[in-house]
Amino acid sequence: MKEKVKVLYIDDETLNRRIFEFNFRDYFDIRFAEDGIDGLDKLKEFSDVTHIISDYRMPKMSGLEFINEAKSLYPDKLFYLLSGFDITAEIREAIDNKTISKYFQKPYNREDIKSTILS
Amino acid sequence: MRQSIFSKKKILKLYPKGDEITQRRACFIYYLVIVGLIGTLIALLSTLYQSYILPDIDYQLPILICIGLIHAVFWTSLFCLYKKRLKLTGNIIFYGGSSILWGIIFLGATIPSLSRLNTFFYMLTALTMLPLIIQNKNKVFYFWIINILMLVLLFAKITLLEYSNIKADLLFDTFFDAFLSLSFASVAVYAVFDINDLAVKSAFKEVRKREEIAIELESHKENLEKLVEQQTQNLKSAYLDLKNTNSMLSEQNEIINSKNKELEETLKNLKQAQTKLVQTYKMASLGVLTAGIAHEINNPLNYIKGAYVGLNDYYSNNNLKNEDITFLLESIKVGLDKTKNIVDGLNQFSRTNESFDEMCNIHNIIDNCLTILSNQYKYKVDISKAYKATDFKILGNNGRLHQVFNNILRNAIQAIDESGIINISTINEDGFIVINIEDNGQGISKKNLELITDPFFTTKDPGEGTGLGLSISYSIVQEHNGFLTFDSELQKGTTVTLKFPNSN
Repeated sequence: MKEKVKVLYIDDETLNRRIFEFNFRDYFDIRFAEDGIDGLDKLKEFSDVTHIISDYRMPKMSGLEFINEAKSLYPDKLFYLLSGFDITAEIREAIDNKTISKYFQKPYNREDIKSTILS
Repeated sequence: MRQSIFSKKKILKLYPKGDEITQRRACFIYYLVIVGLIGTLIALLSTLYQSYILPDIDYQLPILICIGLIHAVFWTSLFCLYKKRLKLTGNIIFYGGSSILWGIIFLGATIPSLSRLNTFFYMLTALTMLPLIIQNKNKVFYFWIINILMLVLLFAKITLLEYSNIKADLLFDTFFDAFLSLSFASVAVYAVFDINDLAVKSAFKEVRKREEIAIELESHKENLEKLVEQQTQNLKSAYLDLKNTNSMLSEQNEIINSKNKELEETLKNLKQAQTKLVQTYKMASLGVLTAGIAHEINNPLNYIKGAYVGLNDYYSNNNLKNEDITFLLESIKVGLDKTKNIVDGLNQFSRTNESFDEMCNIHNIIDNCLTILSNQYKYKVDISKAYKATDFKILGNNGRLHQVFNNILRNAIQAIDESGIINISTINEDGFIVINIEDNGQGISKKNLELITDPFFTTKDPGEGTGLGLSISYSIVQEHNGFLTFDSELQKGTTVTLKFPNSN
């Protein structure tokens, strides 16, 4: 069996993490982090992760801040933002300069995420 | 001055401006001079007569009495006649008496037997002259000297007649009497002269006074003229000043007026800006609010949707799906989709940071929207398009314009219950592209027509619409400097007119 794509999902809400696991465990090999700082640690720990999906609104560090920092450390990895907010100028800018590969809106469409990550 | 007194005409000439009294006084002087001369002449004649023509005493007496009476009557009447005008004191008895005495003097002087009495009478006559003389207070002293001289002459005559050896003959006596008569007459004339001299003087004084007054008046007049001239000059300069001030004021007034207009304009602009600002602020705060709400709803919605997806997987993978479970899962899905639509509607408000410099093709936008909406109308509405506008591109935000047409077309479709027509036409007009979207649906009541662009106003059933579609559309059209108007009649349909300025 082909090895699954290794994904790091960062969300401060346990419920979101667990549902994400339910929805995608058949397709991705998922690691979790509770916030941006944890995310950076996990990235160090699991260097084989290729795709990172982060929530936008989180304590300590916003998703965008995390991605900006992580992207500078791991420019080859792909980062995705997931948020209940509509797209903002800040997010658009991040998309335009390729820091963020794609922006997903909550409630997410599983097929959309699946096809994006697996493509 | 004295010489001029002798001519009545001269007098009258002299006092042409004098009043009646002044003229009469002058005339009276003239008469008195004549009278004095006549008196003197009569005295001389009577003396000559008694001396040579009528030596006989028997005839002499009545004639002398007559002469004396004429004298008396003449003087009395003269005094009385001009008493008031000459401002003389004394009454008719006084003047009559003195005149009679004078007559008697003439009489007495010519009767030798009364020679001594004669002297006494002379003295009396001199005294009767006194009041006349005293009245002329100016020359009192002079008249006293004349009087005294006369008395001295009288005493000299008496002395000569009575105590000297010389028997004065009638001729000598007559000459002496004539001389005295003359003296009296001259004194009388002089006295009257003087009175009238005073009158003349006063007349002259009056004239002088008048002249002075006239001169004074003249100078006053000159002063007045100067004053008037000066005042006129002052008035002129004041008038000029006023004129200047006036023109200055009117200039200032004009400036004020124009400033006022500017201010009015500014105020108007400010009010418009304020209205816009309030609207913007409302929308902005609405944007913040809706963005917050959207996020708060989207997050739990994420659990539900995830859970729904998980459940669906679970039932499918384990072949547990039956009719009931399918219905329940489908119900969750419908609920999710509706909620998502509403939240998406709310989210449209928070989109504020997008550019307005895209070239937007209105015809394409309408077509895109119709495509997106096709499954909503395909079985009930005929779309008729009449794209007559040749210039159908505007500068703006493509996404937002899509939202506008999407909202309006969706409303038009929803207004039609079972079947109907939507006419879409475009036309170029005065630098604008005008889009008409006309449906023959249920229409909007007049009351609601005013409210349809208010946020959260909706006539749709709860859950069917947020009441934000047209409010957002209105804002977006305004952002594109366009106009959005509605015309509607219940049961007949609604026409939505959009106007956007052309890009070039």
